[in-house]
Amino acid sequence: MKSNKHISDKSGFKVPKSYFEDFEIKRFDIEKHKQSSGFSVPENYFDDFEVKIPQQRKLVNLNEKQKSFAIAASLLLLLGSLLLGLILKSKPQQEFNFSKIDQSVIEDYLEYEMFMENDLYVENEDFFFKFSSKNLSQNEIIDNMDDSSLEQLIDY
Amino acid sequence: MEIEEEKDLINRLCSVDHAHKAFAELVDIYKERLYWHIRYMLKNHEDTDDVLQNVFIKIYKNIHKFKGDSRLYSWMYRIAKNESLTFLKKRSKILKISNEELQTHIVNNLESDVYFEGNQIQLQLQKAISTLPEKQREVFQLRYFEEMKYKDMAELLDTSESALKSNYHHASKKVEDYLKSH
Repeated sequence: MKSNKHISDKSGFKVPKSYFEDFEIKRFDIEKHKQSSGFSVPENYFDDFEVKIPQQRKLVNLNEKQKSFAIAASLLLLLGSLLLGLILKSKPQQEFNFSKIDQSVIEDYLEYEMFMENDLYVENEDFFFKFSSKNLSQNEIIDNMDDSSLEQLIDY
Repeated sequence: MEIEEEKDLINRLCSVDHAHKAFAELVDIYKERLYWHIRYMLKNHEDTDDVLQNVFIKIYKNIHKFKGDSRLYSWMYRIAKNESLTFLKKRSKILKISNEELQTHIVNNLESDVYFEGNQIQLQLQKAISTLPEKQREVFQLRYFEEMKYKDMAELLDTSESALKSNYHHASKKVEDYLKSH
């Protein structure tokens, strides 16, 4: 219903002509009313910030005698494995199950191996991890982990 | 940082004798910028601090793989972005909610966050931003809060300036519409 009443009968106040017909909620202009994010940091956070680099595993050079010993030990281990394989072959085989993999192995994999891939960061707007030599994606691994393991991961 | 200075820093980072000192220098130069990029994505200070640590550790361990195809900061920014997105994915998996629901969850937590000192408008602004699609959210925050030039943003995100302007325009309208209706 169109109203032309721009003068109040009782108070005597008036509004511009067609004020109510032309009335619309004005857009909140975020550029004109610039806001900061509202985020803050603890006092001296940036001054005190330091990165704790985890200690790297040391590489040990072996001399000839040590090399011979290592080869002999490897051969012995290989023979032992073959023997164990033969024994286990006589028993019924258990079906492979992802959940039976030691979760610490998966965590180590995520922590130290996966992110070290050469082509980890890809020039693409969509976020995804690319594996050059592994068949499992990170998401597949995460999807196959139970919640407690993920909680541990996220708390690292 | 000039290109020549950057090359010198990278060379020192890759050298056994100077790596530690050069890394401390790198952390000092970039910690604040990287922190804020991550913070705008994660909103929470403690989470940001954790992810920032991981980002620098990955930079330290992988600096020898940096081929110089882009500026050093663009490379580090991508690491920070990927780390933050991975963190969010893990969090949504744990909470058993979608990414969109997680954004709402995070922004709702701001009201009780001691490191959020925003007023009601700033809180509403954060809520509006959380409704944006990921790409628009990223562009909006880089432009609005960090006041990054489109030229620099284009290099950082490997996207044309016109596409970024369009992204920002659409994001701004959505934010304004949200603020108007809430």
